[in-house]
Amino acid sequence: MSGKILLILSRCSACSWLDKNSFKDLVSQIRLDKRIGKIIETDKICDSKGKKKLKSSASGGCDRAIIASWCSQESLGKIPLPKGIDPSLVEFVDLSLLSPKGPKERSSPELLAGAVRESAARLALSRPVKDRRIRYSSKFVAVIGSSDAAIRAARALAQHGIPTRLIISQKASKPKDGNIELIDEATINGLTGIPGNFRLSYRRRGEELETDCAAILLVGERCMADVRPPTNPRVRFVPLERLEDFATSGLRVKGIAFLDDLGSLASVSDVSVPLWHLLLESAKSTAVAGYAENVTVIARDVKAAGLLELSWKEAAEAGVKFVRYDDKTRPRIDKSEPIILVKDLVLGETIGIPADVVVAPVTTRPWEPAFVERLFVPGDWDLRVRSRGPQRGLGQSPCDGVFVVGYAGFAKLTDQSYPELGATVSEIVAFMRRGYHIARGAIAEIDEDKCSACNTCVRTCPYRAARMNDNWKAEIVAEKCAGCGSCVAVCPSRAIELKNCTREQIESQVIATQEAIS
Amino acid sequence: MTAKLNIVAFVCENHALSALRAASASGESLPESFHLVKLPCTGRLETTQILDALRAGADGVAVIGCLEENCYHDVGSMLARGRVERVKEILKDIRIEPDRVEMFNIASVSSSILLLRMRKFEQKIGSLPATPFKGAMR
Repeated sequence: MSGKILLILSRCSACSWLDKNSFKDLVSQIRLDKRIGKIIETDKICDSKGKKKLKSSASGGCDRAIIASWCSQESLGKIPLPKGIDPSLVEFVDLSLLSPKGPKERSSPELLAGAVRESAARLALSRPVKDRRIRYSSKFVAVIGSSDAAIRAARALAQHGIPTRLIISQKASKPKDGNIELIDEATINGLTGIPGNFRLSYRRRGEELETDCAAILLVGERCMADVRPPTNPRVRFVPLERLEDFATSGLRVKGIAFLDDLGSLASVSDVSVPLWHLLLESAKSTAVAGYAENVTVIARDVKAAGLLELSWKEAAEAGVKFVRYDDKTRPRIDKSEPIILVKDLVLGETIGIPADVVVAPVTTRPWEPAFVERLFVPGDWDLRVRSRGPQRGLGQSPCDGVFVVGYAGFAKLTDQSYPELGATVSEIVAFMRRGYHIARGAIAEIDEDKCSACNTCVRTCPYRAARMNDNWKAEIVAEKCAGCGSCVAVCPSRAIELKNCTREQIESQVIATQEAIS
Repeated sequence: MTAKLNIVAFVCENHALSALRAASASGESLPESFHLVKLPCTGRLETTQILDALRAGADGVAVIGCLEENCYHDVGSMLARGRVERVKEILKDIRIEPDRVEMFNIASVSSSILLLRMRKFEQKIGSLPATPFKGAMR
């Protein structure tokens, strides 16, 4: 490894704002940097002629490259690199971002040269990394969920020619489609493996069984359809997160009722503690805001709320009324009047609570620990299995290959869930057609000699990629690591380094920014 | 010749960088004094690295990351905020203006807001007296 850098400098006549002399200036200034071994100047890097020129030219003994151009990285696409350049050691410098004065005036060559040198300072210390492609060993998609949406998803996947295993908890009849394999009366025990090669263990009629699958789709078993729309048109249902919009609309309402979970059949632990906190806080602020005459919390579960005695008390002082109901007799909405009928557990009789707005809280059931382990984060954020929309595409979870739709992600209405389902099915199809999982090479590495087994990285990692091994040293699971570096910065004994974003590299780049100006 | 400002901007590769790219695509450009240091996530940034940048002679340090609720790596910008606050406390202790360090949380679509805030930050740094570490690296 020579460690010298090849600079590919594109002077796109269409978008470069430098005239000939300034360009010469720029090149001569960059030449001062000893890290840069060779400079290739091209006129247009983005068209086929420029690419041909690049391919034919020699690397001049360099093994890494900086591509500096006025085009954006995306528009450049895949650039053919001269022989001997490692593809993992290529950095892009977007010069258009740095041209300070716009097209009419000249941008200063010093500044552009500075940016190239700063990036060179970092690149000179990089080590080559290799991404591994792991082919999927399974061809199945497991769809977990009992609702209509789950069956729809399985059908849609089968139509795309993807063999699907539909795992549901009730008893069901055999589906007509040959691509769907039904596993009914099953409950999920655990999930191991990596994307493409998951092993899903479940219990069926007293037997412990296991199945393989490449991807998993969790469909909101208890999606918003469960909290049935009220039969009375004079009563509005509002999800908890939308209550604020309702409050700012300036409407005055007769009563607001907070329901803990109308449709749920599940156990007492259904509503988690943080959620209860949220619910009590919202009830309190609604009572304080004073746009509703009656604010009532109708609750079945007091175990979790008992832990929040202070919030409970504060809410009661603000004027919130509390009604407890029995698990067997659930509250229902009166057919003509905007009233909720609840059988009060304390009084033992049915009472009517005036409410024209019903707030359904965002409940996500504490999913099987195996999924929580895989999908989401440590500590007090406990039970929220979140699908994170904008960054990773609809329905995708932080774990590649595990897809979450509907209420399993976060509470949404049915009319939001179905479009999401359609989008997610196409995501899964794309995932399956790709056929391999990329285990990234640019990951965190742990120096075992320095590790003091303090567990900090394990608690911090958003992907749960860090774990303790048998020798009581931390280790990073390469397949899960996304290379964010959160563990690097929190490690108190500085035992972790991120490949190609090491402390040394950041420091040298920071120093280069200071040199560039002097 | 008047001394040029020199601000080190730690930029996360996800939302912040795409906001900057969007800015460049729309014909805008970075304020001249900003020097970008790319990070995979602002959670990667340590307090010492911010302080080192100041010690190396930077007039200011900007940490540009995703919105906290919407961080690409989920916890990164939350961790970074804590560290920036910590640095501010340290700077107060050693009698250096804590305003020299600032955290920007930005969505990838609000590039114009980011540039506006960056220019404002540049102006604010410009109004401060010269840093005692100026030229320390020379």
